[in-house]
Amino acid sequence: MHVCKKHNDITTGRGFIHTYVLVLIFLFTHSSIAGTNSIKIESADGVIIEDMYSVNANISYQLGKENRNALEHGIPLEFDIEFRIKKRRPWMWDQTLISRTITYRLEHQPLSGDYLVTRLDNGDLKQFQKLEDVLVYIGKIKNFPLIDTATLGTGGIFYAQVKTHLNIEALPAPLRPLAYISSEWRLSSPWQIWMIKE
Amino acid sequence: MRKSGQLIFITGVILFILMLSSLIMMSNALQDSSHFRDLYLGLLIFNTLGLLVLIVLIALNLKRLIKQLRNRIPGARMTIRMVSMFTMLSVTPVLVVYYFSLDFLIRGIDNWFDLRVEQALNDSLDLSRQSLDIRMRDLLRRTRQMADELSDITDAAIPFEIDDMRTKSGAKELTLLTRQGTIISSSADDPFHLVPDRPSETILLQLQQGNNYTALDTIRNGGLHIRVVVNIPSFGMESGARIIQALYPVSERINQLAESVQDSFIKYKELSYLREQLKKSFVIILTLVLLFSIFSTVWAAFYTARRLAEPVTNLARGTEDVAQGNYTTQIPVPGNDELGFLVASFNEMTRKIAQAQDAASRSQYEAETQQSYLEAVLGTLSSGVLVLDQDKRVRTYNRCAELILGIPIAAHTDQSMEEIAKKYPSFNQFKAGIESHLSSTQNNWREQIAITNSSGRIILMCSGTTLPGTHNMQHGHVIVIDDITALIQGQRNAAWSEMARRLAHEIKNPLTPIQLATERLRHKYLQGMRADDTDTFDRLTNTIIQQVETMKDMVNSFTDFSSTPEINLQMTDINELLKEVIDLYANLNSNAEIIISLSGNIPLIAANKGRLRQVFNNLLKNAFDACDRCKVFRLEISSDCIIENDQKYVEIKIKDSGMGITEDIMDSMFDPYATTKTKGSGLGLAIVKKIVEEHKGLVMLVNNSPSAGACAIVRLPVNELYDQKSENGSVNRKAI
Repeated sequence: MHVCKKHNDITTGRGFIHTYVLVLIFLFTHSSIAGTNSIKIESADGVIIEDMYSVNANISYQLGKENRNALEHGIPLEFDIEFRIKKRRPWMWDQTLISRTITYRLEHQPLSGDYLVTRLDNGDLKQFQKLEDVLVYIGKIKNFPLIDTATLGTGGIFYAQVKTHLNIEALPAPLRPLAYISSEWRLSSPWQIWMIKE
Repeated sequence: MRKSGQLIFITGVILFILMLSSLIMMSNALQDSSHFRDLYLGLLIFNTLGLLVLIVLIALNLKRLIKQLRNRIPGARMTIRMVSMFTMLSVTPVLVVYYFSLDFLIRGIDNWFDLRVEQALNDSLDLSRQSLDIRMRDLLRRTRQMADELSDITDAAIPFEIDDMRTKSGAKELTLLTRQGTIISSSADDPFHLVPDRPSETILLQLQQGNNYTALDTIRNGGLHIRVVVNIPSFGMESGARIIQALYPVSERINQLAESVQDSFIKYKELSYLREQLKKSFVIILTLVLLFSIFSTVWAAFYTARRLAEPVTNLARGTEDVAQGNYTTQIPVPGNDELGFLVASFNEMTRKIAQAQDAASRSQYEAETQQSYLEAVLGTLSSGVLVLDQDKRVRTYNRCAELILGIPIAAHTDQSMEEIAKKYPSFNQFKAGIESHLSSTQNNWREQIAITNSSGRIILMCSGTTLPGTHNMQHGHVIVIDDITALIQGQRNAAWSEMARRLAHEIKNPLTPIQLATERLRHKYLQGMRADDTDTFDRLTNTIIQQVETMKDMVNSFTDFSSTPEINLQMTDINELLKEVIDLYANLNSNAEIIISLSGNIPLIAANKGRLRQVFNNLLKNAFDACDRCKVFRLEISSDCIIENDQKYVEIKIKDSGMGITEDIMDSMFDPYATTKTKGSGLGLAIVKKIVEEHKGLVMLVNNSPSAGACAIVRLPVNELYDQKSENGSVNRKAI
């Protein structure tokens, strides 16, 4: 008797709603799992090396299925890592003292089956057999010089910020409209900010 | 309006060119990413916004058109019809082209991808790999041999051997490292290449696990190279575990071929991946082009239809203006085509109509001026003028005609004489007097007519002339009316005065000797006569003397009538004067019923009291005499202030209950010796009339109706221009 009632619940409107909600929850969680594409700046701080304020950053890249699929099909992906040092100003917007960008271009080479990483700002070229190695490589920024410490010697409050994102404008034109509206392609981290001098 | 229209047109053309250019750039960017690559999304947004602007423009045009249609503005329906026609004619083929283009496009993109081509590319890639694998295996074997050779050489001796080994092996770079990645020694064919290419951590890890590494690597600025990393066997030497890395260049030709195969493969895979996106992008562009074409066409249709309909709309408006009487309407000529000719003809027509209307207005003004002039002239005439048409309807008259006839002709203009005669008996008399002349064929005629109006009986001299008829108007009549009553009366009075003066003169002369002779006779013979003769003689001589006295009185009356003494006017209260005279007659007859009704608002008038007293005395005496012979003796005496023909009068009525006046003597009652009484001189009413006329007044005698008796009416004018009473009671007459 109890079993029958349960069976009826499913076929009735109330049961259908339950099923529908469960399906929605499943789809949401599934899509969350499947679409684990994200960029997160795990850590970022500065260090002074030879009178230059340099940055060390640890960035975690997680590409989704669609991004990987595009890369496998020869679509190059470009990641821009932007660094800025700003000086706080009262009553006005903050002054940007310097802004620098590291751009990594990721390509897949079908002949060797490897992944090629080119740092576009200095032309460095690296080749990896696994995509994960590539992501680890581009996620580690070590001693990237930004500004002369003499500039920071003046009075005021200085802070640094870093952000990284997938450059959609570097994608092929037919893909760009989709990339702008699809969460699969909107890979971007929020600004990570740390104080240099208070 | 025209300037704003040009501005909209220029803006539309600029928008059209910009959108067309951006669509071309978008298409290029899609087909070849090297062109306008970075602008693609901006162009897409620009085109979308441009389409929105076009939609807004069309919506505004549509709204304006619907508003015009609701307000029934001329040309709106025509514009809608033309826009619909243009849109249908242009949109239909564009939609057909769009449908087939879309089909061809999708089919074309699908045709790019062929399984055989894909297989061929895969095979090419495999072939390249196989070819390189053979080479890599050979190079691995060669590197292993070098590793075996190096196993016996200490780290210190390596620098002396490594160059030679690199040269023999054909490697571009040969590097000896520890398993941890520390470089022990290196040799390169490029002397400027100071920093050797270090294997990655992954490769080192692989080597630490005892595996060798062989792979095709892309070296910065070096193209494809084969990287071989192998462990160097150690046989109990002091040196630690070491590895050797050799970078072998791939031949130029193989490098080119491999890159070509790889590029083609990548391109194909990319296109294959972007297949659906490409389709969507091309569909978007094609749809944008379609919408752009349709919206541009619709907008252009609105613009063109409005421009084409503008002259027709202007013509319709101009026609409405002309229908409403505005003949100054001029429409801008659109061009030299047939429509321009039509508009120019319309302008010419309205110009000529305006000129004709101006001429008509001028003629009307001139006619009105002439009419005013004529009326002014007629108004100044002392004679009355009456113009009748062929139907004897009153067309024109002057003020004097109204005064003479005593009727308001203004209220009866365009009415026939019969209609007016029914309302006014005096006009009926006038009509009866002239009707025979109007019906006759005589062109000029004169007739003396007597009519009775509110002023009494008047004599008119009428002169008539028949007007010549015109082409659209039959003949009429002009009648000139002169009131000759005063003239005739004056002539009659003058004749009577002359006769009275002569009669008095001729009679008075013998009377005195007669009287004196009779008195001498009495004085000389009366005392000496016998008694029986004395009575007779006394009676006869007394009779002579009395009759002579009577004749003297009569002669004095004649003298008074004929003389014109200077009149001395004083401000007089007529009511008081009447009361004085009535008092004299109040106790004359105990049977007399005298009703006095004197108005309280009688103004003072300038009059000679003595002479007016004589007037009232004569009239009351006549009234008493008239009632003496009747059973009912009733007198009604009244005074009032009346206004007639803008003139204020004091009107005195003395109504008796006598026998009245017969028609045969009605006309001559005021003539001397016109009397029905057995005694009296017959000058009483003549003197009354004379005195009243001296006061610029008028006197009438009318029979009472329906009661018996007659009524004497005296009207004395109230002249506002007389000064108030002076100190001695006299008034001075101002110049009028």
